[in-house]
Amino acid sequence: MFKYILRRLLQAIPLLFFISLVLFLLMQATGDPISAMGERNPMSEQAKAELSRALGLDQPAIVQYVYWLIGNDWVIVNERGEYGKRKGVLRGDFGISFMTRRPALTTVVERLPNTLLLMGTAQVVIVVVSLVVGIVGAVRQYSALDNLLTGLAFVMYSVPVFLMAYLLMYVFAYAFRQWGLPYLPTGGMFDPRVGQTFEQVARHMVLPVLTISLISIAGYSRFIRSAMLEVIHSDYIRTARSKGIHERRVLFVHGFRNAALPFVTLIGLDLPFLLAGAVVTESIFSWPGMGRLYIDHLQRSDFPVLMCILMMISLAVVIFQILTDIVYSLLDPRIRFD
Amino acid sequence: MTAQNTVARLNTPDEVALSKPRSLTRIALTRFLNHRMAVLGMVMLLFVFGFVTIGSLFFTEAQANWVDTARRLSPPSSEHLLGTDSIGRDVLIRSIYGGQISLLIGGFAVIVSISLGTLVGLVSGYYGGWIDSLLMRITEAMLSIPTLLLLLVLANFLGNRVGEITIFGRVLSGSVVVIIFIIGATSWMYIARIIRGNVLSLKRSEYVLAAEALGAPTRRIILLHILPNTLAPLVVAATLGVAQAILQEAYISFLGVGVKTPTATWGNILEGARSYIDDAPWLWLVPGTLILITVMGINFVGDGLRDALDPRSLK
Repeated sequence: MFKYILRRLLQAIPLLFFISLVLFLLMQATGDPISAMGERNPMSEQAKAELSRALGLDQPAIVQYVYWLIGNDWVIVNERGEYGKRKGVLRGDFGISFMTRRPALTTVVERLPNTLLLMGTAQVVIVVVSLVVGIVGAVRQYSALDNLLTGLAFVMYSVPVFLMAYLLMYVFAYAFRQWGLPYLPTGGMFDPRVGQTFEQVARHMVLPVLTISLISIAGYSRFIRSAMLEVIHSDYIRTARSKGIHERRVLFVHGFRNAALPFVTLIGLDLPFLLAGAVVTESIFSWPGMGRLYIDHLQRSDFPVLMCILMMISLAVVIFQILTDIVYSLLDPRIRFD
Repeated sequence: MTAQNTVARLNTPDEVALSKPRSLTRIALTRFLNHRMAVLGMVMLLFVFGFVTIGSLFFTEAQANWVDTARRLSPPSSEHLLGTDSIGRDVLIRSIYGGQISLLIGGFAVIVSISLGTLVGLVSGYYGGWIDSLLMRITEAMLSIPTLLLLLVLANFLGNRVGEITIFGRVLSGSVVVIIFIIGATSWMYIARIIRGNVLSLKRSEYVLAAEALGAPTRRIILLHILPNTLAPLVVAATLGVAQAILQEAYISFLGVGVKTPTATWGNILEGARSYIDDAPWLWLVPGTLILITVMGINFVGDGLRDALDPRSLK
């Protein structure tokens, strides 16, 4: 087991290098951050050249990649004979944001808790509700309730995020307000007049969490339902029933534990991509998280921040793949690595 | 219930008289048409196609891009059936012409992604060795990068590089072509993996070995013997891919870096709607619902195709 984990970790290293190289070269090939700067008062050609030199953008792409990766404090960067100041990603320096002039990593890490709060809450809602809906559907197969939930899931699964978000806003924010009912806020994280209290943040989270959850639950609950159905019709469940074990125990101890196995894999692999999905939801609800940061800095071609976000999510994807495999092997005694 | 029906049907004289051996295509078609959800999906797609094609017979594209700020945000009326947007353009006519572009992007992006995926999968699976490891590492890396974020970067930087283009007498924003290619270029990975897996298992099959022994050239073996046998999963993946591509175009246009105006798409009609959720619900409800119907229709058809083409469930 230990050997297996070690091997997976070692395999992940070249993969991450590869991802970073692909991303870096794409970024280099596609944008010119200098031209996006100084919009109001355009810079002279000379100023542009100087800035480009100061930021190291005049170097060939592969040299820039090396500097980005391991820093440039070991090479002389200007005619005054000074060494570079960057330490490189491997030493935790993602460069300075072109927009804010602050370290890219700090800029991103500041926003990370907000995204994790939103997505973490959504993920808990998603898992709990999909399990309940999926199991109810399987146990009461083809009942009126099951048919209703199935129909809903089929529609929800195809709803684009913005349509869901706007519908929810329309009903719970605008219509409720008109009807004089307690209504929910549509943007931001808290009302600046009240301050960032628990109650405020919770209220502002309801609509974005609902938006993300309703769509994901549709897919996951179908998955749980079919996994559970497959298990319910297997021989060992019939055996357990014929032994006279209580039905609830049959369903949850004998049935659910086996049906939940593939679900663990699904959740584990999807989890990091939820961070990426935050881009749309956070933009709609003006949630001050990483996804919104990405959109804001995208328009200014702020490479250091964009690369930092992309690398953090890719790292999460790779780590979660390994974690999922390990957790799966712990849960399923049939899997052995040695 | 279904079993009894089949038995009963097979016993009718017509069926017995027609009991020629049925081809696989025929079986698949019959099963597809018996799939209730798939037929419903087809109906939904026909509705959308009808909307964007028949609709364009009544209105011109100039009308779709016609700006009339005096009539901005006017609610549905006899003059503007589905209201107008924030600069007074007719939402119905924009949805018709925008739908054409959205569907076009969906279709062509999938053609790009299928071509790329098939090429990578075939080469990787058939040649093996270092080519295979290199291509599979690239595939793996691409799968670990969140697609939407990558699309946003590419769309933002490449969207303005191509000028206006003229197709069939229509002037379109060059960003349409850019979007088609970048969606295609970021969605080929699953196709490549499906194809590679199939090629690996078919490569050792007896008929391929026989073809090799007869001295058939590699290209012939790949194109004539292996590719047709990987068609079924490819058709399913392509169908579902169209829905994904339409959604992705909508998301990037919605976030403001997709197809540039005046060329309408369902996504960029939605872009300006955030400020008018309450005052002008038709602005987001119309394109949103059209996307929903299309994506749902495609998903249903895709499920139907999967069931119909799966040889394991052959009855």
